[in-house]
Amino acid sequence: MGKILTVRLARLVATLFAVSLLTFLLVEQLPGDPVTALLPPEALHDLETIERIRAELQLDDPALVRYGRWVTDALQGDLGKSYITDQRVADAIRDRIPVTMELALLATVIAAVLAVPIGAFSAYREGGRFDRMMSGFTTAALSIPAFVAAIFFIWLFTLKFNWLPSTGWNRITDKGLLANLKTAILPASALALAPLAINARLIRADMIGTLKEDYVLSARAKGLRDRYILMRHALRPSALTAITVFGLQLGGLIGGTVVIETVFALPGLGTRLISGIYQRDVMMIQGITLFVATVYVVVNTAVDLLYLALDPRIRRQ
Amino acid sequence: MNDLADPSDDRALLTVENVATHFAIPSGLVRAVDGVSFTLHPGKTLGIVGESGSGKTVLARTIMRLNLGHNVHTSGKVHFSGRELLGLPMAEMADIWGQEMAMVFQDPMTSLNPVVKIGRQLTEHVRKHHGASKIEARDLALELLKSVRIPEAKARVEAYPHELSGGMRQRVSIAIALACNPKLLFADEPTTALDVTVQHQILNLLGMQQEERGMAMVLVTHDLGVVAGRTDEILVMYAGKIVEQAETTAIFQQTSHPYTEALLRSIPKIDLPSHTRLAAIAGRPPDLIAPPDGCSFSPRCPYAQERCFEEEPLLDASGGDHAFACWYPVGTPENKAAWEKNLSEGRLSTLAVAKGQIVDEVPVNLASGAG
Repeated sequence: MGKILTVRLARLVATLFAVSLLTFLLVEQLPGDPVTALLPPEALHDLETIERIRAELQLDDPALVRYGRWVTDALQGDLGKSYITDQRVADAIRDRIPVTMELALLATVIAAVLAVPIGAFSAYREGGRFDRMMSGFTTAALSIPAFVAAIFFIWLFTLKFNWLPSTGWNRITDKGLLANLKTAILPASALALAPLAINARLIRADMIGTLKEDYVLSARAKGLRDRYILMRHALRPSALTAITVFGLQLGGLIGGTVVIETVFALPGLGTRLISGIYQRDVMMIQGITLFVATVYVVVNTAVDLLYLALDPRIRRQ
Repeated sequence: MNDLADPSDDRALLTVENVATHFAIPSGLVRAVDGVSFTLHPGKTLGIVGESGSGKTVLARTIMRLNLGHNVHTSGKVHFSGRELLGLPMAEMADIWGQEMAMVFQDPMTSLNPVVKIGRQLTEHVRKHHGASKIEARDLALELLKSVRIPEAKARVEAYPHELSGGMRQRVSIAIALACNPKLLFADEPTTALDVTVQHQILNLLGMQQEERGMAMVLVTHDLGVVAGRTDEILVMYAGKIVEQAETTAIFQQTSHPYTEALLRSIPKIDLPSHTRLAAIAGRPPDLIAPPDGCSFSPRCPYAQERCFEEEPLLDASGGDHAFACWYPVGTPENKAAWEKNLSEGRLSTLAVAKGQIVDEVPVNLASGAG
């Protein structure tokens, strides 16, 4: 058990190092110069000022030196300052992350809470009416891009019924949970569709196999109720694949809310990243990308460790 | 006539009448169990014996109604403890399962859930049936583990199945089956997946528990050696039908059906030199979708005559407690005549048996033809 932990943590550190290097190099390759993006058009001929700013921002140092400086600062929690707005990147993330995090978590919860019963019951009545209905639903949910679903939701719940707002965000701290959920539920649902469909299918497929196991028959022969057998005996052995994918999804959602945040005009990390790209805000792009990647890798490591809790046989190896 | 089903026998715990289980598969209808009747009294032990595919496991699962799937067709009557089981709603079956009838499965490696602790698996059904509290359940789990002679019961309650040996796991399976004090226990090949050294311990444990609890037991096995001395009565099944049915001593002392005889012959004997080839039964069990005309054992039978291939012998209980389905039962003059005739005609299945018994007298090389 201790050995597994050590190996996973070492792998985590190595991955994060690779991620930081790649992020830096990618941003380095972006066309355009941050200084020219920073200056008003009429100042573009003022070479002296440009040189002065370049020196101030230490942009003339070799790439490796700048990378080393950035990583060393980042390790101490300092992601630098935006060249454009002078805002600290860490502050920007802290400001925007609650929205993105809430969307991702809410979408994950919606997906998990619905996928388990849908997958389990589809498997229990394999080929039955519910199973066929859900097979149609999951196919649809997988083939519709999230932003199309989002636009459909807006049409249905805002324009048609006028139940929910189509844009904007209420913070829990300002307006309370209910008002917050009103603005969060549509984007979260749009985000949840694909993970929901994938997880329901994975759980169904694994569950069909599990239900053929001897221990399910012996559980029946003990007189246990079907629902108890499904949830207590069959779900855990059937959840391993779904859990793996679930980790990938949660990590993916944190970076993947970009489009949905834009559709609903939400003040999240994604919209900040987009505006950073428009403004050639190098530090902002680097910082947010590194942050998202770190969350992704950490979540996946945590999910790997979750296996140990789910299957006692892995713990011994 | 106490061995065939007698519905008027109100002392009986279990009466099975003309039960048949067929599976519809794309290539046809598999007659896994085809018209089986018997009676079991409280506290008694019945052995069901037959090779793989004879329908013994399906029969046990049919009685417990554990055959799942839309393609299963069951007919006949199963009368258990005052109720007709076939046709009972599943919710009512769930109250009988575990509480009044229980089953020990063949392979303890697969019949215990690998991700659920032993303690929970031991008592979850007791909690469901009797509403015991968590603490009561824990005490019961300890008591159950002790009753099946598992050392360090306290630690085992918190263990997972993979942390136990095969024999220990089967003890746990037995403890699970016994937890609610069922009236009837099915043990489906309970020792087949275990080491030989452990087999006897498990069988003795089953016997002891049965006596202590006054429980009836159906012991399903392919090994006549397992049921000898442990059962009151034996059913020998072949191709979904009972071919011989009698008290255990009668099965061994007055073996009547050639199939039973063949099964007896295939038990390894301790007085033979080691590395002696076991006497296998020539040929394969019949196709259950299109069984042969006449007696289904006829293609493999060393005594088979013309009549055997044309006319099916029915289970005949006219001789009292001992019933068998054969035109030329073992030990009769007709049987001896059939043997001599087949031997002189060089019938392969006859020669195969003869070769095993009297090697010197068989001139032909049977290496290619005996299988």
